Amino acid sequence: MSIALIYLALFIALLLVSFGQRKTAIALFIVTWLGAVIVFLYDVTMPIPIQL
Amino acid sequence: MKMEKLLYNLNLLALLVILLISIDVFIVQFTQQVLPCPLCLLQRFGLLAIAFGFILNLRFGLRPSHYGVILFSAIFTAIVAMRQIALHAIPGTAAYGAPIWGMHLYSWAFAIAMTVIFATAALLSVDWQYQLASFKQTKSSTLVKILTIITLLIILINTAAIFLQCGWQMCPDQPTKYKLLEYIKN
Repeated sequence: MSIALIYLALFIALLLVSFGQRKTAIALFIVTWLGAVIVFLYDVTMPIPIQL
Repeated sequence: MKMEKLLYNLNLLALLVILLISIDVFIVQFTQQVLPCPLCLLQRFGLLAIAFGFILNLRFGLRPSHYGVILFSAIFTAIVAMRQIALHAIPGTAAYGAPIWGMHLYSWAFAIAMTVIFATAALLSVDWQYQLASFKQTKSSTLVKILTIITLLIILINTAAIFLQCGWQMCPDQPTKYKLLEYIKN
């Protein structure tokens, strides 16, 4: 999952808001938000680049 | 009517502050020549998602679901910022980027996200705002339309910058160059 893709999805969601498509925009936002959570969880699983 | 206007203006003010912060972060990226890390990009996403929630409120009227969008976004931002603060709190790890007014950007992001969480919880609990018939059909003002366009532009510029930096892949933890630009040059 790419961060650029997440931003693009948020852009489309906001575009839908400006065209008055409230429900579709919120639905797309939920998918985008879940995508961001997946990216964050992927980052959390990466090893910390220092020696403890 | 007065209170109705006050709530509308509070949402407008919150959106303005979030947008100013998003623009400021972008200026810092280019003036200090600091490339954002994946966690920084996720925090920026969180802030823009908070702005998305406020725009929903301003365009379609105040609804609990819109406040929910703001709360989920702010909680996400706070968790990501907390993770980055925790990473750099480990002895032997240098901080990421230069501090601004004594705090690093991720510390600011955490403080802002927590403020948004408390402020939204307070706004959310004002019960009568959902029963106001006049607010159900909100005509979005010119200012809201302009702010929506600015938000769209910020997101679009961010998307382009991230695409140049990482392409469609995950960004490296310590980015040093715009990967796609280097690829085009070579």
